[in-house]
Order: sequence, then structure tokens, then C-alpha cells
Amino acid sequence: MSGNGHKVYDFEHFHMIHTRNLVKGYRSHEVETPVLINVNIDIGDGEYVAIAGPSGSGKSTLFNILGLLEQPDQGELFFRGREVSVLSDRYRIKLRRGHIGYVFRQFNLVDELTVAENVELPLLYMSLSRKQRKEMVMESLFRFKLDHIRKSFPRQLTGLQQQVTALARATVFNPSLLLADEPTGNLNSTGGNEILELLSAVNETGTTVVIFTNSMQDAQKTQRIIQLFDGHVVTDMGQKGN
Amino acid sequence: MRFLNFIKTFFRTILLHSGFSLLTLLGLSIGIAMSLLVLIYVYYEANYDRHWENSESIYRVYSYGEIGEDKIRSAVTPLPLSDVLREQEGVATATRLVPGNRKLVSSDYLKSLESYFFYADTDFFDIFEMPFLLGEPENALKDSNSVVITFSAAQRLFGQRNPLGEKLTLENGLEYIVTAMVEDVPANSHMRFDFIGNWLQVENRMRKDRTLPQAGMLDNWLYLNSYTYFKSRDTAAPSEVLHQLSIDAVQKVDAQIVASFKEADQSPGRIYLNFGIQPIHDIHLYSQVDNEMGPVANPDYIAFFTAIAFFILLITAINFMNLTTAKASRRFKEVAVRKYFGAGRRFLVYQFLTEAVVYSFVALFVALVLVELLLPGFNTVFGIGMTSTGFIQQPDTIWILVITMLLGVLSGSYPALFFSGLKPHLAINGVMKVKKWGVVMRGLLVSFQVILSISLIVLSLGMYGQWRFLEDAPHGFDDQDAVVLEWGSMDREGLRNVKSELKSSEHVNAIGMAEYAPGDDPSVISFRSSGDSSQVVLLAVNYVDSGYFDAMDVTFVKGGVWEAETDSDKAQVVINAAAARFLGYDKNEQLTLELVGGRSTEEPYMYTVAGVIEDLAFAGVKEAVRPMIFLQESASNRAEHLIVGFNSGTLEKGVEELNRVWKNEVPDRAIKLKYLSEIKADFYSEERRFANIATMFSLLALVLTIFGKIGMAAFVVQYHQKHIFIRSLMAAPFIHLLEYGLRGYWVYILFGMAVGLPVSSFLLHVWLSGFELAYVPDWTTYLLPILVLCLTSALVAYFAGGREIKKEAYS
Repeated sequence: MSGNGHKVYDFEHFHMIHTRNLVKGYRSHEVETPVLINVNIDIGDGEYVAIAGPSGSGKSTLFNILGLLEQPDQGELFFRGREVSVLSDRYRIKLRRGHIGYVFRQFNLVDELTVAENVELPLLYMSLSRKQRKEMVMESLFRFKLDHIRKSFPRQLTGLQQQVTALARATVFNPSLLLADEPTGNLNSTGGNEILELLSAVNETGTTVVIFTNSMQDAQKTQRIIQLFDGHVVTDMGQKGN
Repeated sequence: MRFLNFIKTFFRTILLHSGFSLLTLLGLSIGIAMSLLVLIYVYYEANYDRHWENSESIYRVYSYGEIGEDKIRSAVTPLPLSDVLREQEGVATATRLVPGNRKLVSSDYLKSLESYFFYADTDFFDIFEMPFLLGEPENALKDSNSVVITFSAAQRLFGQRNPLGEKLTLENGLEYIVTAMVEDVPANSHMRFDFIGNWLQVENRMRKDRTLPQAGMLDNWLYLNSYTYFKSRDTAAPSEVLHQLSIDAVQKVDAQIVASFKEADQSPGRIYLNFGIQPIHDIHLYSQVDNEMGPVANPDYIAFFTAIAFFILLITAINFMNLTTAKASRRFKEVAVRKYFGAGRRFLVYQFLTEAVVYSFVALFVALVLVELLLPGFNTVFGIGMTSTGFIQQPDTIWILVITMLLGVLSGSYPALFFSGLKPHLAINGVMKVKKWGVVMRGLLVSFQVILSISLIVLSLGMYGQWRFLEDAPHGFDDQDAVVLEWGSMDREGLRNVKSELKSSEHVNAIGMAEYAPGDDPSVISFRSSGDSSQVVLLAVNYVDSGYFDAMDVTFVKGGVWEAETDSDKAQVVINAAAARFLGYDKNEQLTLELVGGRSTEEPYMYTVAGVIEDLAFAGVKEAVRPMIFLQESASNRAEHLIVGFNSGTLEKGVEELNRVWKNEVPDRAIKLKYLSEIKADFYSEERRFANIATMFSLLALVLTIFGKIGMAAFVVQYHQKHIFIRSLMAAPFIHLLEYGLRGYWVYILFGMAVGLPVSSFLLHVWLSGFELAYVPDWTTYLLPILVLCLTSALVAYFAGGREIKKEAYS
């Protein structure tokens, strides 16, 4: 433990993510529905992990908690050794900015912006010059072979192109963590495979990649599978020792 | 930068969702344009007389006092006042401005009947510095026979010729030489003149010939007939000038009172006269004296219009908030994505405020175009001559930009807070629900708009009602089938010829001559009743002939008109009922009146009252009828008008005949005639003007309220989105979906109506309480706005609400 009020996960090497007994439930009309029950997960730097489970297993809630968008009801969440479940919204936004990338099943590109502008979007909230942003965007566009459609709007693109753009947007600032919520859910199998390959390539550059999926087939393309069922972690296959 | 990104997103949003965005933009533009028009008007009214150089050091002197029971507060002052004024230390220079009669002015080329011929002292243009088109201000009024004319007067009398050095002959025999030509006096001046002749020539003539009727006024401190202005020295405090002036001038006035009344060995009753000063720019809005040169405005109206401009902007801002957040779900995704990738609350507030400000400035641009297009129509409605360039070139119009900026910030504040507070993980999956309080907020805003609309519609209907009521009130004369022909003050022979020619016409029913027609400001002379010599009364004097009473179709309540116009009967007069009341003349005894003021001979003028007529609303029924005396018109007097009453239904033919006779008798002059009904309508031009303006604003408020309701309907439908969808799955008929989807919409409109009715009734009564004669509004005044609002609300519900419901139900 550190003495500055924040608990620090005390390992020789910090894990990217470390959770201890995470609990989360939703209340509606006096009925409490537990969603996550005592979830303990460790994900190390540079891992390529799938969190797999059927609908209702708590994947999306876990995605939101690991993505620093929601707070757990109980338990602790450490992000790079720092306990974040007690941080205010403002600090969590700061942590997200420049550190975590997100990919969604629905792509969620901004319809009014072009491909290049969508990719540039996260950079707007970082202290970067216009020139730096432009360079980073171009680099990303070339990396994902999007340069030829950089001026197109999302509605002019195929589903795969949209998801690749979303991936470019999520990685343009070289995040340390990339969270992907059912990234292949809206694509056919070819498109899905292509995205998984790209995610794997992103992982090879050092980014920790966590995909949330209900397809075991997709999950098997990663290095490690954590299975969720009714809010519990039931199996954790392929965890590397620390 | 980030800013550019925001603007880019903003314009693309407009293009992508053009229907709703255009509606939003249009609402903003109309709101801004209307506020601008109102502000231009307020600016115009508040800047009367600011165009004179050094206008802040120019003052006008006015008179106040009492003569018997009469209270005087008048813009006109005695002629000798300016000499006393010039002696004051704080006064740099002073001038008199003496209004001349309406008269025929002739050059060597053309003739014209002119109403704005004034006489002034040599230093007039030292005080009123204005652009000279020809000639030099220094020498303009140097000689006693010099005259300065305006550009438009020069056009009437000289056409395209150069007027400098040309001679002008007035019908009173005076001759003037044009020494300079100035621009026309700007419309927002309290004075209007077309000619400024040197007063010295008139004064010299009066001093030479003391038998002239006006000669007595030259040194008379009790004769109020000229406007007096002065320019203060930079160092001088106007209050000191006033203090010393009161002491010096009142001494002279008192000496005059003693001198005037001592000879007759009679007590003057209570008489005193003193003087006040007013800064020239305060005259238009704050002067409360009689005998103004033109109409003055009521500052309450200016406050009213400023409030209107403010309310329009408020409604506009409300509409903006309503419309931009009505389709909130459309932007949920964008906001959520931005939040995921690190946009904090501050960034999003900044983004939405930027958008609103950009919207406002785009709308300002559209509004300026609208203002340019609407200004001519607006000028007609307001009855003034504003220009947008005059307004926009002013340095203080930087406020337009500031106001637009504030409008943007105000309009964007709610969307900014609304969107920046979204939870990204909920918004991105569409789980975000429109909250109940959002519906309540919008509902209350729409209620507020409905209250405002009802109030404005009721007020404008009330204003129309009051206007019609005043016009239809008994005026003591018949304004149908009668016209007033303007002649001028000289060459009465010509006028008599026209009169006798017309007499033989089959269409003419009666014909009379008069010095003053209704709407004119008759001169006032003091009389003493022979029955009560201690009382001096002021009576408005009108010289008329016996035909006048028939032509005006007035009713005698006692006695009748003088029998014959012979010299021996010249002393017979007619007075109106107000004068009879004033003089306590309600018995059947003979009443004799003695003229007090303006005598140039020792012999007193005595008059016998032959008849009393019903009160004649000479200036309309808004003002109390002045006590008036009708003296017999004669060759030496000044009948300037012919009043022609035609047989019922022959007005058109009669006027044709009149034109024909005029062409025969006076071929070298253009005819100037006015329908008596037109003159009467002019009494209430202000009421008509404000009724028109109020109508314009109520229509605008109605349009803006419709926009508000469209936003409200769209929002309520979103609120019921899920239920609409489920019901549509169950094949519910459209009308059922419409009924369900707009639940809540009507509650706020009905609430607005329920509050709006008493509020509007209160406002209307406050407005009507400002009139001595006011009408009683009936139930239709309140029913019509309710019907209009119900109808527009139903149309919005059906079309705008229906459209949204179809989208939710069937997509």
C-alpha cells in the first residue's frame, strides 16, 4: 500500500488491470438484480484477452467498469497499479483520455464527421498541436489502409470499413489498453476475421487488448479466455503466471 | 483547432438534418430580425435631435404659469425673452423661432402653398448647425431680407435651378432673397422647417406700422408666440442660467401685468408667468408642454417596445433550446463517443455554446437581410422614416454583436448542460431515456409562450377596439361628405370667387370659411367676461363665416349664428359649450366679452355672444375640448380654409367639381384638399399605429409559439417513444397513437391559456386606463385568441406531432 491515500497493487510488475471482488447490481422497482458477483481478474501488460459469455452474463457491465465508465458497487479496481474505483468522474475522464481505446459492436462513428475527422476525434481532447494531430491521423489511416476513404462519411462506408475506422480511432493515440465490445457482432465472418486479425496486430505493438464476446470462435483467436456466466468468472484459460 | 471541428460538425448537422435545423435557424432569424427592428425604432425615438452639432448644449425655453383658472405650460414664449436670455453669462447665443402662417410663396418660376415658413434671428444657424448645400452659414441670415431654404423647398419653388440669390415673394407682401440652401431637417427632429427668413424684416415692418394686428406682440411679455432656444457656454451650468433668467424675466413680466391692467383700473385676477428650460434632446420624449411643433412620443411606449424586444429574444432563445434538444437522441451517440474518448464536461459545454453562438451569428446575418427587406413596410406601420444604415453605422451598434453573443450563450446554455450531463455508456446504446422533467420544463416554456401570445393578441384586439371607439365617438361635427380646402392667408378675393362658384354646384350642400380647420392648433387670446371683470379666460380663437356652422353640420345648443355679416354685427360671436361652461354662461342673459391681450389700440374690442354650439372636438376626443370662440371672418381677418359639405352620397362627384372650379379660378396653383374624415382619422393615427404594431408583434409571437409547440410535440413523442412503438406493433390505429403520443402536450397549452386570459385582461385594462374615454372590451376579444391558439396547436399536433409519431412507430 502506498501512503498517499490510494491503494497501489503491490506486485513486482503492475498489471494493466487488477480487480478484487467486484460486485455490481442494478436496481429497478425495488428489485435488485446482481450482474457481477465477486469478479477477480488480472490482466497483464500486452495481453490479448477475450472475456466470453452468453447474453446476460455481465460482459457489458464489466466492459463499462473496466473502461472506467461505471463504478462497481463493491470491490476494488486497479488500473496500472492505481485504485480507480474511488476516483471522481473528472479523474477517470483524465485517465481515459489518451490511455484507453474503445471499439463497439455498433461502430458508433459520428455521422457528421469524415473518416479522418472521426479518427482525429480523441486527439482533440489531448494537448496536441494541429500538426501533431494531422501526422498521427495520417499515420493511423495508412496503417489501417483507410487513406483512400479518408474524406468519406460513415454512411458511405461498408460495415467492415466503419469498424476499421472505429479501430483506427481507438488506437490513433497508442492507448495502453484497448477494449472491444463484440467487435465482430455486426459483421459477416470474413469481416469479423479481418477485425480480429487487426486487433491481434494492434496487440503486437504492445497494446493490451481485451475483447468482450459471446462467440467462442472469436475468443479462441486470443491468447487467453476468461469465461463469465451469470456474473461469475467461471474459467480463466491461458493466464500467464506473474 | 477544436473550435473549427465544432463549427464543421455544426454545419454538417444542419445539412444532414436540414428540416429541423432550418426551422431552428428560421426561428432565430425571425426573432433577431424583429428585435432589431424594434431596437432600431427605439434607437430612432431615443435619438431625436442628436444630429445637431453640440446638441448637448442646446436648450429650449418654455413658459408656465396661470391666467385666472387657466394653467399654462407652453413651448412658446414671449418675443422679448431672447434679449434677456442673451444677457445671461452662461448663454453663448440665443435665437427666436417664430412660426409663420401657412402661406403662398412665389419665386419667379413657381408658386407653392407652404406650411413650414419660420422666421428666426441672425444667429439661428450658430445654434442649429446643419449641412449647408449652398451658401455659407456665417452669412446666411446676415441681411434682414435673407432666407435659408431646404433642398425640398428649393425643388418646389425653383425646380432644378440654382436658388442662390433668387427672390421669394410671400403673400403677406414680404420679399426675401435666398442666401443658402440646407439639407432637409432630419425626420427625427422636434422641429421641421422649410424656410428660415430673417425675423428682422418682419419686426421692422411692425415697428413702422403699429396698426398691424400683430404689432402689439413685439414687446409684450404676455403674448406667447415664439420658440426660444439658446446654446450654453461650456463652463455654464444650465441651472444657473435658469435661475438668473427667472429673476430677470419675471420682473419684466410682472411690470407688464401691472402696466396692462392698471389703465383699466381692474384687478387682473391671478396671473403669473415664469420660464423653464429643457435640453433639446429631451423634447421628443419628455416634454410635457402644449404648442409643440410636431407630435411628441410617450416614453412609456419606448419602455413597452424595449420590453417587447426583450421578450421576443427570450422566446427566441427558448425556442432554440426547445428545438435543439427536441431531437436530442440524434446527438446522443456523438456526445457519448466524444465522452468515451476523453471529452470532459467543459469541452462539451464549450462545444454546444460555440454551436449556439455560431447559430446566432448565422441567424443575425439572415436577420439583417430580413431587416433590410422589411424596413420599408415597418416604416409604414410605424409611420416614421428609419434607415438601417443610419442605425448600423452608429458606433454603439456594437451592442448588436454583444446581444447576439449573449443570445447565443443563453440559447446554448440548456443544450450545453443537457448534453454534457449525459452518461456515455447509457447514451451510446440508446438506453438513455427522455426524462419527465424535460417534458415539464419544455411544457412550462410553451405555457409561457402561450401566455405571451394571448396577451399580445388580446392587447392588439383591444387597441383596435379602442381606436374604432375613439373614431366613432361623437365629435360635434359631421366628417362624412365634407372636405377642407387649404388656401393660405392672403388674397381672400380668390377664395371668395372659388366659394361663390362652388355655391352654385348642385352637389354642394353648405360651404363655409374658417381660419382653422379641425386638427389645426388655433391661437389663444385672453378675454374678460363683462359680467365678471376679475376673471380673465383664455379662449381658442377661430375666424369663420356664417356658412361654417352648416358646412361642419354642428348643432346649436343655444341661440344661433349671427344674422348678417354687416359691419354693425361684427361684434356678434359664437362660443362652444366648453367656453360657456368656463364662463358660467348658463342663464338667458346677454353675455359680452372683452378682448384683453394683443391690443395695439386703446379702444377695447367688445363681443356679444349670439349662440352656443355643442362641443367640437377640434383635436379629437382624446383631449378635453378647449373653450373656443368663433369670431366673424372679414376681409382684414384670416380665413385660410374653405369647408365644403356635399349632399349625402355625392362626395366623389363633388370633389371632381371642386377640382374643376379650382382649375378655372386658380390655374397657377396646385389644389390642397383633405377629407374631413381623413383629418378625423389623423387624430387617432397614434392609436392606429400602435394597434398595427401590436398586431404585427402578436402575429410574430404566434409564429414563434408555433415553433415552440413543434419542439414540444417532438419531445413529448420521444418521451412516449417506447409505448408508441409497442402500440404500433399491436396495430393500433394512427389516431390512437397520435392521441397517446401527445399526452401532456395539451396540458401545458391549456394551462398557458388559463393563465394568459386573466393576465391579458389585466394588461388591457392597464392600457385602457390611460385614456379618458375608453371602451369596454367584450368577450370576443378573449375568444378569438383562444380559438386561434387552439387551432394552431391542433395543426401542430396533427402535422408535426403526427410526423414524429410515424417515424417512431413505423421505423
